[in-house]
Amino acid sequence: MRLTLFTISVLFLSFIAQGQSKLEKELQEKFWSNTAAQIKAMDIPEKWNEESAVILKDHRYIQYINSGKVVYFKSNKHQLIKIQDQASLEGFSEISLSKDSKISFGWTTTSRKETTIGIRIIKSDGSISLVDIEKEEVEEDDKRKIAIPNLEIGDIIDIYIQTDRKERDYDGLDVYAAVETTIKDNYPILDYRIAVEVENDFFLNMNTYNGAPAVKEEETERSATKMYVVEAQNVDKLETSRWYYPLVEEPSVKLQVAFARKRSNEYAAEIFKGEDGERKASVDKTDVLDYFDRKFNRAYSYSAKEVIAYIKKGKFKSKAEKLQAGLEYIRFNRYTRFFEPIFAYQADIVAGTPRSKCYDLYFGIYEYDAQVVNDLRAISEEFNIDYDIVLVQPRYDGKLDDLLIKGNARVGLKFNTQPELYFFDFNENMTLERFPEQLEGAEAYIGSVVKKKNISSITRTTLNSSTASQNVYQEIIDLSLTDDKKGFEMDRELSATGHFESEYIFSWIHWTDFLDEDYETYKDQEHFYECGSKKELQRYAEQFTALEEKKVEEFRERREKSTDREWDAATVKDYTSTVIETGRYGNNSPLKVKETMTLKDGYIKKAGKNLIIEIGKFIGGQVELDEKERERSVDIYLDHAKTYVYEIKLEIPEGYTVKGLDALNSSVDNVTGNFITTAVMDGNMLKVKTIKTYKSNYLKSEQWNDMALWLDAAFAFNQAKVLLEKK
Amino acid sequence: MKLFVPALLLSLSLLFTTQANAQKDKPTAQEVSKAKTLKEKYKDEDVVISDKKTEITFTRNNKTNKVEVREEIITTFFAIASRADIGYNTGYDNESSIETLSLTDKRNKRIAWNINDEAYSTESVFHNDYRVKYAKLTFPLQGYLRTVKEVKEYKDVKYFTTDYFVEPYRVMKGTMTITIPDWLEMDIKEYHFGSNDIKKVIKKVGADTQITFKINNLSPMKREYRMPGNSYIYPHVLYLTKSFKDNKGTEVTLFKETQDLYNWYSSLVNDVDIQTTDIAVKVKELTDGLTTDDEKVKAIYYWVQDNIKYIAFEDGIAGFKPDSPQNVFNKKYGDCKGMAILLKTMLVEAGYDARLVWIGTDHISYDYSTPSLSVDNHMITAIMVDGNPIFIDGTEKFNSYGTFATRIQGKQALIENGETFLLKKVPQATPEFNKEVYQGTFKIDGNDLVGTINKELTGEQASSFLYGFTGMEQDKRQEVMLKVLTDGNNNATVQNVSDFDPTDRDAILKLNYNLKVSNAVSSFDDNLYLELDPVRYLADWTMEEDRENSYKMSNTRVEQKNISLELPVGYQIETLPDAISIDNQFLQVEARYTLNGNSIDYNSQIKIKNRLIKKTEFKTWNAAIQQIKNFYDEQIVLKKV
Repeated sequence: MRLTLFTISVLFLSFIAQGQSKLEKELQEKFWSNTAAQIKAMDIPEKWNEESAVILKDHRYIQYINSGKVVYFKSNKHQLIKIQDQASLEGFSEISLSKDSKISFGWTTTSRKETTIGIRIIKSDGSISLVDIEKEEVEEDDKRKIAIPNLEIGDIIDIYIQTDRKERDYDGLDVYAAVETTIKDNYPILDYRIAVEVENDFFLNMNTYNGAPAVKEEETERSATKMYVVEAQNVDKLETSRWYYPLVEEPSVKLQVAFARKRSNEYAAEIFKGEDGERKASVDKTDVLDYFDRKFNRAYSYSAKEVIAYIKKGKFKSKAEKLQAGLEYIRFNRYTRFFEPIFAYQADIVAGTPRSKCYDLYFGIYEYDAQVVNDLRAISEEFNIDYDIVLVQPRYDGKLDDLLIKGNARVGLKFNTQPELYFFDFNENMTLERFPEQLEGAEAYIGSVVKKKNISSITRTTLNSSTASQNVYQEIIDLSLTDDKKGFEMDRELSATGHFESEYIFSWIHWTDFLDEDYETYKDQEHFYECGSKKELQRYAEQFTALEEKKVEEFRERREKSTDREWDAATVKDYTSTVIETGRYGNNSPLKVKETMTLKDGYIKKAGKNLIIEIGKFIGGQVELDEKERERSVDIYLDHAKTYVYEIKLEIPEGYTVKGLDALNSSVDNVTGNFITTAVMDGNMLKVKTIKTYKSNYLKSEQWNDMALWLDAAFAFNQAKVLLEKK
Repeated sequence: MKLFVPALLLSLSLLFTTQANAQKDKPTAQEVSKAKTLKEKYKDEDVVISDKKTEITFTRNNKTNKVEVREEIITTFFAIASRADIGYNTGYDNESSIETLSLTDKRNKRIAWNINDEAYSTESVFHNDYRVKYAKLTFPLQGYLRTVKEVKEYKDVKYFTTDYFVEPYRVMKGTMTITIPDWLEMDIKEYHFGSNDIKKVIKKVGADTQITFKINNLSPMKREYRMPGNSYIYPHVLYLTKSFKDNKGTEVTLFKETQDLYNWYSSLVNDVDIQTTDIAVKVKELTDGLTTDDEKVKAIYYWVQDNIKYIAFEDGIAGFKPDSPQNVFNKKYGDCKGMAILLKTMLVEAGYDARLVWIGTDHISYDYSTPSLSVDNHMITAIMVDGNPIFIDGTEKFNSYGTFATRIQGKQALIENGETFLLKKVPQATPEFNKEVYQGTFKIDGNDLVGTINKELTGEQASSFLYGFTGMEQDKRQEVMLKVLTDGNNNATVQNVSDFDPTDRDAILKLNYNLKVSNAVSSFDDNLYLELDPVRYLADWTMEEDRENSYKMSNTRVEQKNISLELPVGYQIETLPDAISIDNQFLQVEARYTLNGNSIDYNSQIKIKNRLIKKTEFKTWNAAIQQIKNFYDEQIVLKKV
């Protein structure tokens, strides 16, 4: 028996080995048909001589076919890269790939991946140097690494990589990873091509954007497949800019393939589906309606029973208050109250299955935003709250007309209350007061919901953008000189509203802070460590308290370190930080923390018997535009409109007078934003206030010069100084 | 509805069955009290090692005729913080193995432990055989104890070279026992025991000699930026295995003398297959038409620097044996050994007496008086001129011939000499070798200082600039260089940099450019306030109070500035900062402003005399830095006439 098995496996191995070499031969014939002379004769535009490398050819091919229950994907990439300097030489000298894999159960192979790679080098003298992959490659755990031999500046690497993948498909429903890419790359490309071949029972969404060449259909060798291709020539390299979305500005390609064996599977697929085998190039209202129809049945009220009862019991007047209270209830009861047992589990404090009487404390966490969406819909139906279902593509993925990939679309709820409320984000700080900044100002499809009926109509609208006054970052700073007059004692209150709140909450407060507040709000809720045997009760409580202490200590250390980094010209000593408000409850309340510290040896300079204070450094680091950035041809995509406010009070020590206030009173204000500063003396206090406003989240490139005016003013203020003159 | 927590709990419940017994494992009141006392004393520490027992034994493998080593380490960790989560890790390679790695609680009950095993790769080595096993250790409460047992075996005593007493955690108590059989000749060399509480006891156990080191309260080791190599600072022993008698009583020499170490190295080198056909053609091409030896050697040395990339394979014997020079030549890549043997082969081909050289970089404190594989970590080449070596290092990309990188300066080199070897030191360069000189003229333009700078770089200041410049994508070089030349001053902008030849290693690198420092001048009432030094060299080099280790500067060097500021019309000097003059064991600083007719001359010279700033000398260093910083900060005050 042993012998037989051995024989079979040897036969199998040799079959694979022969198969590989046959495949290699086939691929070499296919990809390396051009002679060195032909490759060297490729006409590279002179303007690319100073580039680090030039991609002479970048061809990509993806194929999806199936046979019975097995789906075959083939993807290959063929590139010719001319190395033009040391940086690209070093960069392209080492290649790392993930190892081939095979997953089997019994005799059935459910998944197999084989990667074949070929590398040859066209030397500058026209000779060809072939890389012996088997000899050159080394394996490290799940990686294959190749150091490419004999590669020099001036050489052209001719490389192909093909992956043949086979998956046994059980549920008959697969949505493959989308490809979304600008045609431009880090290096210029002479000849670009991407081709997708799909069998007729696959769905393909594919199109090009922002002036990229149109998708063409090409003949295939198989009768049951279709092939779609995008080709481009002489593509300059991608230049990155500050505040920039490449997929909105640059020629790009998007595509996604899905496979559903049965109608019922098609119904569930997370795609905007077209017709079998036909390329779907755009998404319109009908597609969105079809998607809503498949995904949004009537709300399921059972899971929302508790929250509805809670709302009914409370004295919430308006519909908006009811929703807000409902979400806060869900946020805790369906989410954050499970954090303690999860952290306890991760810290090895609880293990195994809990006692059945304690199940409720461990089980029932919501994992998906869809669960919250369902409950909010049930609440709305219960309390006659008018709401819509919203589908929107984030701004960085392109316009709504350019929507193609379902994974890019964000689906949420819009409640037509006073004020309007939204639900999109599912996390421990979820709120209805705002929705993600990337969706602000984006066009959206609105599916109006009539109570207990499916969505029947779709309209289009532009989602509101929050204003600069809604997103305020503020620091109120009290400063006095240290006794040695070489540093400062500083108290500051940091506060954040709107999107700033979402941005800073993770770094300013610790989970113990918001959990304490949550348990305080919902007083009846037991902790996991209050349920169990007597011994468990003691152990859980003890160990969990120890965990909390440790995590809080680590958090404080992190805060202190990050504050120290903020003040790079001084050393931070005696740091304390206290949470004033988390901003997680109630209407538009800010997140607020207070800090005290000593800034040792910094921001003060001696000038004879006088002192110079670098007062401008107290408004934080400012954007510094370099020469290259001053010319801008692409539009400006900011996170959101926003205001930064700094109110600085500096106590002037006795015996000194302040000089230089005039320069601290300035104003640059235009339609794009502003930077306004005021400085006055009030008794022995120098009071400086600066306001910096980004008025909008999007500006046309023509407005760049206007924006640069107040960015420059803020940078200049950052260098501002006052003189403390000894009387 | 999916249940999130239970799925996790159930799937891993088997792994954590120990928790059921956790109550019995709970710290006693005495343990908690002891932990509290220790925490009070060692505020920044969360875990200490309450006991570490190491036992080292040797056996002969008659099949391989090699001495094998078994090292059993039992480490008991003690949590002094309210809770602690730490990692345990240990490494092995082709010549060693981890036979046991297990975890027990304080009652010696085994705890199931999830151990990871991964290839350990670093950025500098493309591929090696080093692997690491690592796992998590959790201490749920103050006072918890956990014990790790590790057994590591070496197939060949040659690779068993050092043992450190320190750990990343404080070792409260420990013993290391080495049982040396009578058939093994071995010396144990002690390093940096200093004031550490380490006692040695030697006794005879039958025919064996048992050496026990008893240790008490060793501070934790700490990784810090620019600290000296471990062998310079931490208490450890070096095992010098000289010879052994095989089971027939025949003596087998290991590394008795440096000659034995050389013999082994030499045998590996002699085993390298060398084919010179292609190399000879290249050598001819490079040296054709050149007349002097200097020209020829440079042509070859610089060709290797320019054309052979550093890609290292340290797999098994490849960690010690060079690749064939023709492989390195054809592949255009190699590690230090590959570059050294290619350089040697090329130079020999050109008619020179070139030799291979083994050397330990400044990361290693030993010299060849201790024959051990731990002595070196690098290979270079030497050309013998009148019986004296001139060292050349192919891994240094912009070294001029006849100059040596700081990392090998002053280090002892083991040079091939046929059957024997030579020991020579690499010459030590003076601080003046690495020099940056700024000559400039400035004038005041509104709030800005504008002017021209002529900058000259020599030694490593030049080679590191050229390395950075040529390693940058060529389309970004200009932009990055303009940024680099601002010397980190955000208010500075550089324009119009003069041309230079980035391949010329032998010339002084000269860069002329326009510099503008924005907002350098403040105006209050009728006075102007300004500082003239746009670089502020060393101003931020204060050693942190909580730094544990000494600091090793990258090199010794000199920074010189001679800048002249034209006084604006209608202004005169109100205050000039006082000159400073510092001369201590690390630094020599002279900096002053002087009025010279219608201009203020700023002259400063900072010399770093000594690379090592010892922890005990931080105070002196920091006081000097504070003085320098104050000097930079203090404003020149000009008054309207």
